[in-house]
Amino acid sequence: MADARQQRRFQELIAPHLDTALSLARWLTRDPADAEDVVQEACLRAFNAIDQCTGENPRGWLLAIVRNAAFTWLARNRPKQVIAIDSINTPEDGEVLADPQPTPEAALIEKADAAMLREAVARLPLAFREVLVLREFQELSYREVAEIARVPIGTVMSRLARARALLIADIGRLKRPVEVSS
Amino acid sequence: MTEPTPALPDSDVLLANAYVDGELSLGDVAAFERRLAAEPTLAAAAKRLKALRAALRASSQTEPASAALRARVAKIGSPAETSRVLRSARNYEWRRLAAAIVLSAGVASFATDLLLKWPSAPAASEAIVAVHQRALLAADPVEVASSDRHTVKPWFDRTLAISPPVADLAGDGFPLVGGRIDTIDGRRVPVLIYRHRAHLVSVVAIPDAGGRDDGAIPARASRDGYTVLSWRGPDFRFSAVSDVSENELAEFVEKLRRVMTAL
Repeated sequence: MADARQQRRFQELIAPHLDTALSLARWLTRDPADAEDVVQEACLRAFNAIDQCTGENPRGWLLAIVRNAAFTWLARNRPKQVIAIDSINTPEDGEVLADPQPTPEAALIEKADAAMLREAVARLPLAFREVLVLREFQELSYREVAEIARVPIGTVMSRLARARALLIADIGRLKRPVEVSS
Repeated sequence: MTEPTPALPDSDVLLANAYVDGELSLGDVAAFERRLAAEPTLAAAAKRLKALRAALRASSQTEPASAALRARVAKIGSPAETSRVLRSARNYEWRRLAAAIVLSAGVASFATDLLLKWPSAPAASEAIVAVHQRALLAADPVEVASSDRHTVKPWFDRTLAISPPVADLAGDGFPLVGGRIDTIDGRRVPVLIYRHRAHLVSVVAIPDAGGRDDGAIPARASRDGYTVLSWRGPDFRFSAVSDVSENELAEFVEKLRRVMTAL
C-alpha cells in the first residue's frame, strides 16, 4: 500500500508544514502533548489520503485535516468544549458584536502584553478561537477559514468579530501596567 | 485611557473587521474609507481592530515541532506503521473525511478555475490586454482589495507562494487598489491593480527568477485602445496595461520601477 510515490508525495507536500500544523493543533487543544498526538493523527490521515491532495494548496489541505483531527480528539477527550460550539447561535443584535464598554484605546491595545494576549486567546471559546487563530496566526482569508472550519463565510465574520471584541474587552480589563524597568 | 463610546450596529462592526482584514471589495473599501473620515466612532473601532491585529502578530510565537514528533511523522508510511493504520477501523472514516474536505475545497475553487481557463496561447500583448479586460469585466476588479501593500503582498504569498514587490503610488496619483490572480499561457500570475482618476491600471507580473531591472525603455504595444508597456524588474517581467494616455502610463511605469527597485 505504502508505495514509494505515496511516501515521496507525503514528504514533499505535508512534511514542510509540520510546524504550522502543530501551531494550529496547540491553539485548538491548548496542550502541547495533546497537540502532538493530534498532529500525528492528522499526518496519518493525510498520508492515507495523499492522492487526493492536488498539491495546489497542501498547507490549507493539511490544516483542514488537523482541524478535523483536533475536533475528533476534543470530542473524545474534552466533550464539554465541543458541545459548547454547537450551542453558539447567531449573536443577538447590538448586544454581542458591539465593542465592550468601556473601550480601551487603540494605543493601549497595540501595547498589550504578548503573554497576556496569548492567554486571552487561549481562553476564547473554541468556535471563536478557531476562526481567530486561522485568520490571525495562519493568515488565511475568510474563504479559506470558512472551508477549514466548515462554516459559511458569514459565520466566520461574526465569530471573528466576536472573538476580537472579547479580546479587546480582556485587554481593557486585564491590562497589566507596563514594566518600565524591563 | 478608556471612555464609553456609542455602540456600533453589528453591520458596521462586521464591515470594520472585513476592512482591516482586506476582505472588502474595491467599491466597499472606497465607501468605507469615506465613512471613516466622517464618523469618528467607526474610525476608532477600525483603529482598535488594526491595533489588535498588530498586537496579535507581535504576540505570536511558533515553536518548531520537536525531534520526537518529527521522528514519529517520519515513520508514517513505513510498512509496519501503515499496515497498522490500514487495519484500523477508523481509517475508512478518515478517507471519507479527507475526500469531503477535498471536495468542498474543490467546489470553491472550481468557479475561479473556470474563469481562469485560457482557450489558446495568444500573443503576449493580447494576453496582457485580456487580463486587464477581465479585470474590468469582473464584478470586482480585485480579489484582495487594499491600499495597504502589507496586505496585498502576503495575500499573493499565501495564494500563489510568490509575490512581486508591491508599491503604493497614491502620492503620485496612482493609488493601489488591490491584487488579483489571472492566467497567462496557463500559468497563474499575480496582477496588481492601480487607479488613476476613473481609470484602472493592471500590472501583470510574470515570474522571472533572478531577473532585475536593466533600465531599458519599456517595450510598447497597443491593442483595442489599451496601451501595454513591458519591462524587466526584480524577479518578474512586468507589463502595465491601461486606457490612460500613453504618456501617463509611461510616467506611472517610471515611478513604479523606481519604487520597486528601492523596495
